[in-house]
Amino acid sequence: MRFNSLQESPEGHTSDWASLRLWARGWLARGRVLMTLALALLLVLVWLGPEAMGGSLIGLLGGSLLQFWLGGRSSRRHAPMTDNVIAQDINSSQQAFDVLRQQVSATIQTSETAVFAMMERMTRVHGCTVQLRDRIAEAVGRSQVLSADSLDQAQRHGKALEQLADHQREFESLRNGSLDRVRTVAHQVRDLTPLASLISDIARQTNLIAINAAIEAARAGDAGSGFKVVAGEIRRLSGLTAQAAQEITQGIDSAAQGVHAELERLEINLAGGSSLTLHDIADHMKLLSNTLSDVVPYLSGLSGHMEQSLQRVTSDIVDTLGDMQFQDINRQLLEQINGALASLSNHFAQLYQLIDGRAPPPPQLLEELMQRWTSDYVMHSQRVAHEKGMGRPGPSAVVLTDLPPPVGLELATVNGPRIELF
Amino acid sequence: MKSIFLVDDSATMLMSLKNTLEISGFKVEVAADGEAALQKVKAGLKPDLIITDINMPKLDGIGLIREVRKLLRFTPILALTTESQQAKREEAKRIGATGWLVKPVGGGDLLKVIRQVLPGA
Repeated sequence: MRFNSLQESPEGHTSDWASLRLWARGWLARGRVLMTLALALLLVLVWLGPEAMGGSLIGLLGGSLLQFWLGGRSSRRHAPMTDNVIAQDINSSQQAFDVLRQQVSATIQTSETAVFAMMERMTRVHGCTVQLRDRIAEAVGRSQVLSADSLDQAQRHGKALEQLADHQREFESLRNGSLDRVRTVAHQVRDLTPLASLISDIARQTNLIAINAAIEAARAGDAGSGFKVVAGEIRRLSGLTAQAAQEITQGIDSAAQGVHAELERLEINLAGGSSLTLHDIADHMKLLSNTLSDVVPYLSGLSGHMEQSLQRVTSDIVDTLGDMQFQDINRQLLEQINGALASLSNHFAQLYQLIDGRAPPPPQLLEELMQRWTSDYVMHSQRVAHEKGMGRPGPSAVVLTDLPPPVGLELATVNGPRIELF
Repeated sequence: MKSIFLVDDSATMLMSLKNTLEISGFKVEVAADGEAALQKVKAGLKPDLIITDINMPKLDGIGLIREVRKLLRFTPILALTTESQQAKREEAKRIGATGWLVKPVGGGDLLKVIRQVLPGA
């Protein structure tokens, strides 16, 4: 509400009452001048004596009367202007304080919004770090289990390999022994083969002799009948000898087959032992492979999760650093408020001097002073706050950017695109 | 590594922006007012990008852009300011600024703009 006349002040005082107060203040000022004059006269009388008092008294009296006249004239001339200035400034003072209050509110809003945003981001950063800590703790626990498993498997591997080595050594020993034995048997068999052949030759020769003896016995007639019996017996023995030689040959074959069978059996036993050990090792290798196949995706997932978390943390830190720009905004807001308060303080000091009749009216009305404040504004929020303080609708905000303005920071930012590339 | 020259009379702004850009892999040089910045450019500083405030003591951002443009014709220059007067924005555009950003600009948004004006950054 503005008051352009002197009919009524905001407090309800009339202009006559205000004029009466000013008139009384003027006469009080004149009374002070008269008291000063009386004191000066007394001092002159004491210090200079009665002989010098005449001239001095005339000078002082003349000067005082001149001041008295001029003061009264000045007061009379300035009185209506003073009343007008004071009344207008009183009317404007509420708006001035409202403007400053709005500026302070904008500053507080900027601070609060930025601090809330920073707190929100820091809370997110804390959440991410807690998640990371939990994942790392889980990974450490799992790594310990995997390490224990791997160690156990490595020990089992070692044992299996030791068994394999023992088996290999045993196999070598057995193989060498078997070879020696086979060589011996083969040698013995080879030694037996000519003997069997010799027996066969003897049997054949004996058979021929028996046949010849039988022929000669037949030719001798009855005299050879006894010899015929002997020849028959020799022939029978020759048959038995041939049969024995055949049995020896069969025995040698049988022995050879036995050696062969023993070798085969030995090979089967040795191969079976190796196979068993190798099978164990294969099983261990499969277990290890399964463990690794679990570990690799787990580590990959852990790495991805940590990377994402760190990216979120970095993003929040970068945005929090951006939020710190509120300090620069508030500094400028407060600098403007500080300057406005200084000019307001100066203005009211001039008004007090005017009321006391010690100075002319200020060079500008408070309303004009407030208008000058606007030239110091750089931010849209300052202009909006000023207009709100003045009780007028604020300047319209034009948002041309695709990027949404930060929530709660409209006053501090919006007037045209926040980000514009030319 | 791309280099960025920051000019602002606010120590807080310089600190926060410097940290933001260094975290993001840029090499950063700073100056606290337009005059100091101009001296560095005259001394041979050739950044890949200049980000300057507008309202500064000694030499303001508009004056800095005008003078720097004579020395570095093709270096992109972004104004990062609280200044909301359209007239100043138009003047900056006229004398060769590359873009106009009103504080506060989030770190993510700032990096997007930088990558737009510095391809490959």
